[in-house]
Amino acid sequence: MEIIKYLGDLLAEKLYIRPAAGRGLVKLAIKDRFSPFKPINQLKFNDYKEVIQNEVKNRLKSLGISNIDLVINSLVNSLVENQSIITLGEV
Amino acid sequence: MLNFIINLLYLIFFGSQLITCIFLIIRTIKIKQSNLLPLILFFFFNPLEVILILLVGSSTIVNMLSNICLVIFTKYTFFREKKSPFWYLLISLIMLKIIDVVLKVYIPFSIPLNFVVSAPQVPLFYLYLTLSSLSILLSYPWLGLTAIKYYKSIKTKNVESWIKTRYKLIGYSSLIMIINGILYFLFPIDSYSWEQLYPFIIGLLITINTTIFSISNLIAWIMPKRLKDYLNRDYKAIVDENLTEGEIMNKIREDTNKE
Repeated sequence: MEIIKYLGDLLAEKLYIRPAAGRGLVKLAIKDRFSPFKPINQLKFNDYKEVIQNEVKNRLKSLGISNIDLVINSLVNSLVENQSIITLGEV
Repeated sequence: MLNFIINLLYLIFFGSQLITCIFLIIRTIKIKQSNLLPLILFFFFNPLEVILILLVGSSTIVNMLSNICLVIFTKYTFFREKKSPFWYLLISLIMLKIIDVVLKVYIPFSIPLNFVVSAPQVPLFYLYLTLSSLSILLSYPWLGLTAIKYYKSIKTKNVESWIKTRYKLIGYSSLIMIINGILYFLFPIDSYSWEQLYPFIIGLLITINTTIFSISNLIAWIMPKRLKDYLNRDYKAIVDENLTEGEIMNKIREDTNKE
């Protein structure tokens, strides 16, 4: 869950929205891609990356956000930089 | 007596690494994170190496495999899609492993030695020590420095304190192993037992460092809930409201329109 918090807070910072809304959007995007029954702690680095590049992007498009690519790149870079939290925060 | 002390430390090292290995197998099955597999193998090969030395006097087959596994774990946990010295380290370790195997076919060196080294064998013994030392220096410090670097980057961020402690334990315990890389060169060539004072002191220091590493990793990976709660005592957990999809999207619309 730490990585979701990390990415959600960053998304909130980039969009100037409440952190809870940023985290909520990341969780919704994960649900869009995977079944709601898939445990979050089974998500891997590539799963998060695909969620950001597809489902988060689609959600931002539907909200009419500008500079989407900039936001998505920033999220992917943050994921790559902080990827170890997926393992060290879940084991 | 001296032998007993070293063997007791070996037992602690062996037990803690095996427990960590079993715990990681269970967790990996549960959370399906494949990057943990090399770490499981690391905690399997490490005690196996010691058992083989104690039982059959040689660990040639599995020697250095643990170091290779550690480097693979570091790459796939910290450096996916990132520039890193991974391939240099991996190829160097594989080359060391090949030289080690070739060397041991001729002379079955080990630490401690099982025989007294003859004068012509001395340079080869130092080659063996260099290989052993390099295998440590090419694997543990990379994990240690990386874990400490990321600990520093999340230190002031809103991340649970027990996770920060996990980074610290893994980082500093891996850096302690650098000392062993240096201690190997102080090992006497005219002794093949722990029962003399000088080899005992060197052996004791090596075993203490390895035990510190093992126990730190045992605590880092199998952190009891009570310890996690204690470490998190000053951490303010974020509890998100249980919002519906519509509510989340509306909140974002409100916030982005305000702007």
